[in-house]
Amino acid sequence: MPKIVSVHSFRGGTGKSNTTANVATLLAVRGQRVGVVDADIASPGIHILFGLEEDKMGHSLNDYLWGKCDIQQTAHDVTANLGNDVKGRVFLVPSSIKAGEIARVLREGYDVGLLNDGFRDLIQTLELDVLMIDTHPGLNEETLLSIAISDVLLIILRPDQQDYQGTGVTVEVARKLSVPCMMLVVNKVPAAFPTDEVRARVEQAYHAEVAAVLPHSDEMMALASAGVFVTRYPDHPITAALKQVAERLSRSG
Amino acid sequence: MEKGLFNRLQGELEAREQSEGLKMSDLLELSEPLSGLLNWMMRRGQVTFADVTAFLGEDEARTRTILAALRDKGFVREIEIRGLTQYRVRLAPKRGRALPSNLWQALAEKIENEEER
Repeated sequence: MPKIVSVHSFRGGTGKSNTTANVATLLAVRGQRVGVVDADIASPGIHILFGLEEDKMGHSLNDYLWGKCDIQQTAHDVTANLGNDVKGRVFLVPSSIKAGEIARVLREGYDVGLLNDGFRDLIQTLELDVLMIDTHPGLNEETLLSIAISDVLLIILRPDQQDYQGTGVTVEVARKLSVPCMMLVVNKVPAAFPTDEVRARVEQAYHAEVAAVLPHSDEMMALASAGVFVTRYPDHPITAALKQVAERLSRSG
Repeated sequence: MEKGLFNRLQGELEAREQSEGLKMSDLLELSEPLSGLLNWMMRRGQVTFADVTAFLGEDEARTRTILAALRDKGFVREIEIRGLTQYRVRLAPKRGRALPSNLWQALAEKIENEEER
């Protein structure tokens, strides 16, 4: 049964796109066919992690929402950019990075129903096992739609008071929308914070499962979104923790 | 569903103004089982009358009343697929943002420049 996984954070800069790209890659390493939609139309960026260059982007999600193409025409097979260990496939639906096109979608709006249909069509036509939706931070119409239709909601937060409060809002909304499975990933945790304590505190605060506690990493910072971390650092502790997230997602539902 | 609950749902829908579609904020505001029904329909894409009847655990007359009320408020629409009536959630379009006209003008020029390239 294909599943929709939305990746969300209340605030920006939590590592949402990085986590999405890495988990999608690890699921594909396990042999799954994974779709990734950059639903962060106002500030897209995940295409950079997958090595999709702007001039090779072709059709984007914006084109689909404006009726210029079918959703499957916007899906780019980026598997070849992820090394040789990937048995499955990763298809990326990027959002346009052209300033004018971002401005246009903000100015004119779009058909939200078409976005919902597009998610389902992608699953069907690409025979996906998992569709991951990289959402815009905070809560807006498309973010709430993504959360509402998710089988799994992965919420990324940092050990930061602003993130803690915002995450509480997202958790409350997800419960109201009856999301079947909700997991938290605590990212960028300083070495001075004991992992088990962070996990216990966050689980207690939100009454939700913590799928992983990811330490702050200089290697991740140095990579600077120039690639997918798990393919560059297969033996790193962060990769091990992200594998647990992929494993947990595979078992969910 | 008890008659009292059924009447409450009917009343909740009647109190709403006709809309151009369901907004996610509507989904958060509506009570159960209406919000659950609409969320389930969104996930499924389209559903038959029998599906809705089974979901609500209702008799046909009450299901018809609820669906008619949802349709009248603009939240649901009927479509014919291979001769079978199906029901879909009608999602409200996302409206553009209101910004000062000179800012839109500057952005419009940017769009034109990109399209010319």
